Amino acid sequence: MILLSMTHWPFILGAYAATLATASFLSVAAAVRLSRARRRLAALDRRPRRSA
Amino acid sequence: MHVAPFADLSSGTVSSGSAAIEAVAGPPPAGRIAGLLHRYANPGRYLRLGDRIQPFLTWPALLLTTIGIVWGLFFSPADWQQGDTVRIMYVHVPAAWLASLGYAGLAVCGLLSLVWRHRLADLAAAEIGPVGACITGLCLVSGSLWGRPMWGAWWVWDARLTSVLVLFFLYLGHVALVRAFDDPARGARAAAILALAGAVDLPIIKFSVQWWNTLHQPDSITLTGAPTMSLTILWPLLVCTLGFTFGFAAIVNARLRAAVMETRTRQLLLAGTGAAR
Repeated sequence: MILLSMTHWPFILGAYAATLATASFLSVAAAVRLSRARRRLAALDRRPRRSA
Repeated sequence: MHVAPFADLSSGTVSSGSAAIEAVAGPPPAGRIAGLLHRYANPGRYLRLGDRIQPFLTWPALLLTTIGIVWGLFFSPADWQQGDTVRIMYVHVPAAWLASLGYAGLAVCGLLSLVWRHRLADLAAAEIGPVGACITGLCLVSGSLWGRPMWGAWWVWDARLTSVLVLFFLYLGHVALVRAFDDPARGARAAAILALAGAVDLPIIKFSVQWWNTLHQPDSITLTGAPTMSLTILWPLLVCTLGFTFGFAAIVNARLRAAVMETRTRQLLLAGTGAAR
C-alpha cells in the first residue's frame, strides 16, 4: 500500500497526472472533432442538393 | 482549411446520407494482398467498420486502464530497490510501447501510401502522427520524472533516451510535413517518406540498451526469455499496457472517422460550389 511519507510520491503523482492530462486531452479532442464532423456532414446531407 | 486533400475520394457514388458514402476503390492491382488492401481503402466501408468497432475499443480501454492503474498504484508491491517509484513504470512502459507501435503504424501507412496509393493510409498516418507525438512526449516526461529520483537527473544523454527523443522529433516532423504543402497530397507523400526513413529509429530504440552501455535499464520483458520482474508487478503492467493500447486504437479510430467525414464534407461543399457555377 501507499506510504505517503516517501518523498518520491510527488514524482509518481506527477507522472500519473501527466498521463491523465494527455489521455483526457486526446480523448476529448477526438470526441469533439468526431461530433462536429458528424454534425456538419449531417447538416450537408439534409440540405437540398443542386443537380448539375 | 485544405480543400479537396483526397479528391479521388469523390470518384465513388455521390449520394446523400453519411451512411451512404460509397467511394469506390480504384482499379484493383494484381495480387490478392493488394486487392484486400484496396478493399479496405474504401472510406465508406471503413466508416461503417469504424463505427461498429469503436465501442469494442473504447470500453476495454477504460476498463483495463482503470483496473491496471488502480492495481499498480495501490495494490502492487513496491520494488525492493526503487521503492514506490517503480509505480511510474505502469504509465511509462505502456507509453514507450505505444510510441514505438504508433511509429511502426505510421511506417506501414507510409508504405501503403507510397506503394499502393492506399487512400485511407494517408488519412490514417495524419491521425496517428499527433497522437503518437503526445504519447512519446508522455513517455519522455514520465521517464524524466522516474529518472530524477532514481538517477538524480531529469535527463541524461543516454542512448535509449536520446533515440526516443529522436522518435519524438520524427513524429513532430511528420505532423509538420503533412501540413507543410499547399497540395495535401504532396504533404502526405513527403510525410510517408519521412515515416519510412524514420522507422530505422525503432530497432535503435529497441536494441540501444544492448548495443551501448546505458544508464537506462535493459529490457525486463523479452520474447525469448522469462521476464526479470515479479509476476505481482508484471500483471498490472500487462493490464495497463493492454488498456493503453486499446485507448490508442480508440482515439486513432475516432480521429480517422472524423477525418473521413471531414473529407466527405469538403467534397460535398466543393460539389455544391461546382454545381452553382
